Amino acid sequence: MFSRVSVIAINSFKEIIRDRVLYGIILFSIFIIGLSRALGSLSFAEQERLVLDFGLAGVHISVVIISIFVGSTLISKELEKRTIITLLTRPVGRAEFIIGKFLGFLMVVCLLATLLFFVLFLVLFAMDAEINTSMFYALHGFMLEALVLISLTMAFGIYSKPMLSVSFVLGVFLIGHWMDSLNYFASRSDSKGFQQLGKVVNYVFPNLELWNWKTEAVNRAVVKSELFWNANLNAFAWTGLFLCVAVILFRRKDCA
Amino acid sequence: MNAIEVKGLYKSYRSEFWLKKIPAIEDLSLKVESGKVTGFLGANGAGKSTTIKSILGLLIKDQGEVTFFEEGPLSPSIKKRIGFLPERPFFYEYLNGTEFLEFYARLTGMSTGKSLNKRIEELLELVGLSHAKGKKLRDYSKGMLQRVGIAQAIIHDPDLIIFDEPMSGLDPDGRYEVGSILQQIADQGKTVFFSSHLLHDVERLSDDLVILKKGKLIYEGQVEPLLKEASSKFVVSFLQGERRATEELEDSEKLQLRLDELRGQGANIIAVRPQKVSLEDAYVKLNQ
Repeated sequence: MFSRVSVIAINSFKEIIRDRVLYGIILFSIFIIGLSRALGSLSFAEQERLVLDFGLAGVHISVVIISIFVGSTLISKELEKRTIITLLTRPVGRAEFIIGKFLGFLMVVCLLATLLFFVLFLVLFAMDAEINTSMFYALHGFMLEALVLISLTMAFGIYSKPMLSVSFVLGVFLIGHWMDSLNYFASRSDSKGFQQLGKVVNYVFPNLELWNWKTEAVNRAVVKSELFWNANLNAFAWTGLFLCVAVILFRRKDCA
Repeated sequence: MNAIEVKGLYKSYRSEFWLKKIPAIEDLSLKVESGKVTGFLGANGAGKSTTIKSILGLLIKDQGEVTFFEEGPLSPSIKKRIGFLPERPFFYEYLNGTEFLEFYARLTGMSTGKSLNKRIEELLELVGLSHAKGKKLRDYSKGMLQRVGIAQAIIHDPDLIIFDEPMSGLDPDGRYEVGSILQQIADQGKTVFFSSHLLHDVERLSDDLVILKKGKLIYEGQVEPLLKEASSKFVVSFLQGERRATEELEDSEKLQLRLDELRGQGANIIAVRPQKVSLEDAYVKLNQ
């Protein structure tokens, strides 16, 4: 089983790596990081903070864009181009296919995030800026978010067209990042309905702010160990859930 | 032994999720005998591809049982003994010929190494693509894709090979080449089940036939009996005086009457032979 999953994962990795879209995103991200250096030089003080804040945002945006946009075509491309037909007639289970595609894509996202982070690191190094460990937590947080977004995009992508999947996941992305604000306003609201809605949203959507440690990195604050492990557990639980949904849906799907 | 046995297969589609399901295959039962080449015929939309995809688990069947090698339903170990080429060869176009074959070999559990490399070389030679092994599949012509598709279907040396329209869209040379490869596979004693609407090729290559019409089985058996059944006409050649003549008679009853008449007239009957029909004639007759 592991061998088949790894063969699919490696093939999926090759597929994305050989796609020109990826290089467009990388160039865009490097441009954003470069821009952070230019913006930093405009600041009288706190240059490092500005570069770090802007640079981490660039890495984050790139990870989110690739996870959602490339992720939305991961399954649909196989179905539309019918490459899946010969693949599934091999001794490959549908769950193995989903997990293989997921792992292959995750490898690309992790590689991209690490590469961009390295570019940011070089910019900071050139500025003789202080490197703090929270920066690595921020990078880890991006990867956790990518885990959840990729698995969610794949689950949506089984039955919907890529653009529809992108719209759904962008919706979840926005709700997930505004959840803390939504909870705050719900708790302060007089409306029982709005309070209930706040509670429901907590159970239905992942709180993507849990894995956002950019502020800690910029402020050189320590990420509490308990918070870190809880966030990891939470990310893996959501990923597991979305992958299970993807597998269940895919097992009922006709591959014509 | 049967390589495939299908019992009571039903498959229906819904073109839109709010619409009623339309049956594509209804109560289909068929057998594909081991070691034989079985042609699978039917008009466009008769349900050939749907049947093949349902057999292979690509489509989720509504009802029915499919047993392979008289062992059981589709499972990873059964899949290792099956090779498949789909109707239109859509493959990973960013891979080259060697990478492509290696990918499918590894999925079937073959380990990389010298023996796999040798097998890939052999197959590329067999399908005449040795010169294009380093070329990306996106640069292959349709015929080349079809041939590399055949190579992926047989790379793991399966017992049963299923081809869905292997010759469709190919030029005469391409059709001949694919037909020859298919014949070579069959000569190795493998079971070949292939769908086609090119009746001449089916007649040339098949031992047995399965014919579908609107999702239902209308013929299952050997090619010869079908041809004989379809050929009710006779041709009689005779000498009447100095004149040599040939006549075509509709059936055996009319033949007997005409023979009696000719004998009465003192004609010398040279030959009586059943008129040879092609599979195309037989197929058209069966479909009427």
